[in-house]
Amino acid sequence: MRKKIGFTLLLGLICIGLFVWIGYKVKTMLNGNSLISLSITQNSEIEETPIEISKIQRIGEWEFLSIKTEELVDSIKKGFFFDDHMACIYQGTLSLGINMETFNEQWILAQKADSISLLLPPITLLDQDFINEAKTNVFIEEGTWTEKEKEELYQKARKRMQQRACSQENRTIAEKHASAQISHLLRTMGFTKIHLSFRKE
Amino acid sequence: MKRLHILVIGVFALSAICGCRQTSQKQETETSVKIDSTALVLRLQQCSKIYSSEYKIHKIVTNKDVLKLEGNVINHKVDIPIPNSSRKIAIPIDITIKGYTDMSQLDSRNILTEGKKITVILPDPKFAVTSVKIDRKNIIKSADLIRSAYLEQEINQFVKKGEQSVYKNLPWDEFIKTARSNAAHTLFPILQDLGFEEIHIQNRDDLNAQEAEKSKLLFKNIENR
Repeated sequence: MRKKIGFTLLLGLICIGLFVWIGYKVKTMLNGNSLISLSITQNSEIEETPIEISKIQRIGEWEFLSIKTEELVDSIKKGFFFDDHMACIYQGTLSLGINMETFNEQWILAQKADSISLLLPPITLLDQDFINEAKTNVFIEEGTWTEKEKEELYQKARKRMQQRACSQENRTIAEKHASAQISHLLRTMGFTKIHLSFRKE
Repeated sequence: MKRLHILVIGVFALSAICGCRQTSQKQETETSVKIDSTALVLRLQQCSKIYSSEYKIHKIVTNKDVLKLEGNVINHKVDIPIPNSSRKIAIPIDITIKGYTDMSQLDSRNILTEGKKITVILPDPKFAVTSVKIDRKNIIKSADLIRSAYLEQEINQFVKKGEQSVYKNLPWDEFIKTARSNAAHTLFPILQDLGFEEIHIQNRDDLNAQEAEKSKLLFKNIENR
């Protein structure tokens, strides 16, 4: 009986040794690569699709202040077991300036020889679409979110950015800079006495 | 004999567990996401730019994703798609690019007046991406049972790639022409109102072929605000 157990143990040890030796040999044959290396991959590349230039139009926007801003917005949906939470950081650049399409015939109040008096349109936000969604950083995304809910987050960020950027303080900065820039241009054109004012909204 | 079997099976199981642990650790490091700082910034920049052209570009960014088993089995390349593991998405995006003239570059060398005659030499137009918007109402997506839905982070990555591919394929030469012509059209009535009777608006025409090519390359490097 003892002989039988001893023989079985010896055979087992020989088998393990042989197995390890074969494994080692195969590994060295494959120059360090493992015998089986498999992984599950997925495709994160986009496909080539055509682009469509849907509109080309002439505009007249004179920008005097550019405000680059970020906005962190988040939303929580109460669930039965867990709450869904989403937080995104949106990025956008808002332009404050004069929409030249609002220039009316009375924008030149008086003009005589080298003196001029102008009434300029008010400083406004030039474009309502200013967020670059390609730069959005999704900070937290837990649970399921519909496209409508995501759009609401975007609109929330847009509104907040707009409120912050279109402050009276920023409008004043833009007005001052507009005055300086337009005066400089008019001086280059030969005007020496310049008076500028802005129409109230 | 039974013990021998148990021993051999044990050795196999141990080696298999070790192997599995190694791959899962590898996967973890590959999929770890780097999160940037969340500090909110607000930067003000005084400028004087006349935006005279607006280009609205529409593109549908698509992705087809099928899980694949890839790798090597004894020096043989393996690339097997896993059945019923696909997901697809089509994201319509709208990009707004605007062509502008930097008026702060204008000085006495660019503006020449002679009585009621004025000559303005405009600097080269530049371009800025002012907005990238996902048309969320029209997003189409589907995923097989074993796949998770596309995350918002993934959608943003596709949009970013789509935005980059748009820049490469736009007819920039045409854009430069329209931007130049529109800048002149925008300035013309203003100069007229200021009392000038003879108005000449010129663009830089002193570019030789080599400089023009260089200049064209600069246009391609558009301002991504």
